[in-house]
Amino acid sequence: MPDPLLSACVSFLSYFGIFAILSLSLNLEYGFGGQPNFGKVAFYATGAFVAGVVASRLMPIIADVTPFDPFSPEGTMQRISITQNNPCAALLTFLAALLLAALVSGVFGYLVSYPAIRIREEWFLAMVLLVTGEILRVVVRSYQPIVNGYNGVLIPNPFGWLKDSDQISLAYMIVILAIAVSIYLYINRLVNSPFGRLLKSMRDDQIAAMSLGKDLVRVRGQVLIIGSALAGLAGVLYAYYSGYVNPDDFIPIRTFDVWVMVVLGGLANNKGVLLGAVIMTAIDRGTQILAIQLQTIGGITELNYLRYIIVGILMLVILMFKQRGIIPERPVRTPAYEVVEGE
Amino acid sequence: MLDWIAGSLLRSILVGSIYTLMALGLTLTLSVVRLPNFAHAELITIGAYVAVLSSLVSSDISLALLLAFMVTALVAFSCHRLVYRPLSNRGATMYTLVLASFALGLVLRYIILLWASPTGYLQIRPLIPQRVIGVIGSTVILDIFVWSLPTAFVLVVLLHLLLSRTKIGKMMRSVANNITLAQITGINVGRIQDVSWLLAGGLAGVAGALWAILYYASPYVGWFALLSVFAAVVLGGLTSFSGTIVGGFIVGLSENLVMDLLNISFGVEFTYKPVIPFALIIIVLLVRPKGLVGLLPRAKLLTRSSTKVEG
Amino acid sequence: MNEILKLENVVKCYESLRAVDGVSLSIKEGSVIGLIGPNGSGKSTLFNVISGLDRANEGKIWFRGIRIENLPPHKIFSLGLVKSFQDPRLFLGMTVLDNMLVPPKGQKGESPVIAPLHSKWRDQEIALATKASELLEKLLLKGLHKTLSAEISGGQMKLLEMGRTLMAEPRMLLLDEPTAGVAPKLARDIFERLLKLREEFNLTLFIIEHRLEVLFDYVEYVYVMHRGKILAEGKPDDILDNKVVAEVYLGG
Repeated sequence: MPDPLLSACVSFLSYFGIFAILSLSLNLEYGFGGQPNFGKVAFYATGAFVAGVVASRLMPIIADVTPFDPFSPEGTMQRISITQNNPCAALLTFLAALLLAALVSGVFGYLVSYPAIRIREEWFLAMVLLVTGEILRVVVRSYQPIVNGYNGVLIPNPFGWLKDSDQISLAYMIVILAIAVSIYLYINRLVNSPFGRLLKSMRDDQIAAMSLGKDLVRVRGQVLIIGSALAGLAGVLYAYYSGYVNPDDFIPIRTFDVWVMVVLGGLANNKGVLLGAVIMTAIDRGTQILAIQLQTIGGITELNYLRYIIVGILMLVILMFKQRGIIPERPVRTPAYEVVEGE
Repeated sequence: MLDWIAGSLLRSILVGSIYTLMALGLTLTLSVVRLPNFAHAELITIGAYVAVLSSLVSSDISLALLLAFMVTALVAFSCHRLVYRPLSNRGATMYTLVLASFALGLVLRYIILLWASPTGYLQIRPLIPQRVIGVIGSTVILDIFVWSLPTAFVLVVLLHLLLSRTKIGKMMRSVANNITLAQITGINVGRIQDVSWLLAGGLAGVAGALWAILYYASPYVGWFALLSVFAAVVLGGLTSFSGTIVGGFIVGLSENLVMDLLNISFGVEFTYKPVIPFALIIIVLLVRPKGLVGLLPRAKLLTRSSTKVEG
Repeated sequence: MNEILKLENVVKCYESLRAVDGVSLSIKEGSVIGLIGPNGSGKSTLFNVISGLDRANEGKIWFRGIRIENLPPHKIFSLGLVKSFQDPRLFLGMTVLDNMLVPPKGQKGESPVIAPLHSKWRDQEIALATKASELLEKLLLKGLHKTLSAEISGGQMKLLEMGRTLMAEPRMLLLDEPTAGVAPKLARDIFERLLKLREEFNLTLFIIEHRLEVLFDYVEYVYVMHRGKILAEGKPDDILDNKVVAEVYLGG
């Protein structure tokens, strides 16, 4: 029998890893760069959809078998059997999904923002991104060939060949955390550098930054590409975690969840943002577990509604009392300060 | 064959008039309070449900509309006093306010869901009997058609008169144009903002009520309409009163007449309908970010002057 | 001496207002030139147009022989033409040192690809930091490196703004009222400092200033603007004697 405490922990940490990546990506865009992204879910979704497409169409090719119709029961069974018997194919498909998702999401992020990126007011771009998220969902939902419309597509866990479900979850959690940690380290290195300074200057005063020689259009583009690619990675990780890719999972609220994590934890502070991710995961998983416990008493849907009300009120409270989050921002830390310390 | 065009056109104008009402409230808060209010969607939803509840008591349409106006105006006012104003006073940036409005909308929406779910009000039509007045093509004409356009028209005209003729209207326009200047000339900005919120809420509420009578009420009614409403506002140039009116009708036309055309001529399915407001927004942003403002000969009532670089 | 900046019939309109109405001028490299005029005469707008923050409706602008009227601000900056702001526009979320380190051109670490690889830009960073440190000392801002720029005094902000501009290694500076809101003694101080820096770095200075008594002691040539046009130009003494200028300035 699976140990409930262990599975709760694994579930918590897996979600935390995914949320951490999402919030780090938004923190880069908004906390450091001052560019609000109200369409985070679009790139999260793109990553998941890419995973769906790769798993359903590429996996048989990688495993060197003749593919069935990916959305038919035979196709699904084929994927499951490949995963269980062919570790190489399973892991290679997963890797391909990760790489492709980062690429596609990054490019998509750039394309979508292209019309609005030249306009000085950042909220133009923010609005375009918001609208993109919903439209992507509607289109993917209606256009069958991507992930079978509103039916969604099943994709088995890349560690399915381990056979034991506990081991599978554990192994996958380790992968998620490994990727999350790498991204955390990467972002930290990225922002404690002249590029980080550049982002903050763009955030603090666009006009001054422009007058001091910064090509803001290019920087905004760069930031959005990175942010979108990271969100795409999170999307793949989520898709494989839940085992199922469904467009209706990617509603605008998801974007808001990420905002709560970033604003709550601390703008422009990566540790703070992780704190925000922890709190959000706790609320998210907490209400889920509570709902299952209370299943006998009834009203699972009501608890879900309560979760959103809690999150909304939390956001209002934080905005009211600590606009920039629990943990304050720290200055950029570059070797420049070594020169200064010496005096 | 051509009678589907007539029916489609009718629906376009109908929906367009309701969108216009919804959008005007948003334009009002955008120009006078400088807030893109995401919770505007919930004001519409509340209006819809008020119409439903009112119909339980009486099937009088005017009562439903009046109650919707008042209740929603009150809710909007409370949001302003309880959330937006305190935040502004603490020096909130625009994004903070946007996030707050999103959060507020979320809370309101899920409270409504929490209430509507067990009571079975998840998707409900007001008990206002609709007589069939006539049929054009495949479109059945009901009572509400006769109500909706005149109501919208009257409200728009009243709003216009308010803004152009009354003292309070002139004060609202000054605040919209230059808030510091308005303060210096002794205008009580706080009171003006209060009035704007009441109006914005009221308009949204009436629009929501009309929508409920026309279609149905659900906790997501406002949220689903929000995209189209934003498109209308963007088309109009965000802060232009007349622009928004035209914008509302353009969206109404695009979603009905144009959609029907696409469906019949090119086989585009109706599930793609939500893409239309998106497409409109993108086109505006690409081609003419300032919106229709400037193309319209009538004086812009609530626009701000073009942004100048201050240095 | 070469001509470093030239304007030919520059016009800038806002809706129906001609804020800059056909301005032509020529500035030689290494000189110190003043721009005066009553409020609303279009001086700041002219600077905005030259530096690229606003685009001219008509006219041509050459900087170091290159046409710049259609270039974006960051390109104009990279050519060596830098404008400072009347009210300091500091990056308030960053420290004094970081503010100083933003302007320098060609920082390898500004590319997101290179940035994570610290070893590639470390040396450059240390060199820039050393230079910034020296400059801060000259501006009497030593010891404030780690302070958030939002927390320093008004006068210190002005000095930081100047320091930041200099870190850009400009060839020409457009200074918009560098002594606004500053005590008279400090105003002279600032001008003295500016002239020293000009000698050290061979700068050309184009200065908008209202404190005529201070300005006229330091500039070689003056342009007077009124309602978007150049009303008069000449050496400081000639301008002082000019009756039309006196009317416009003092009568109004």
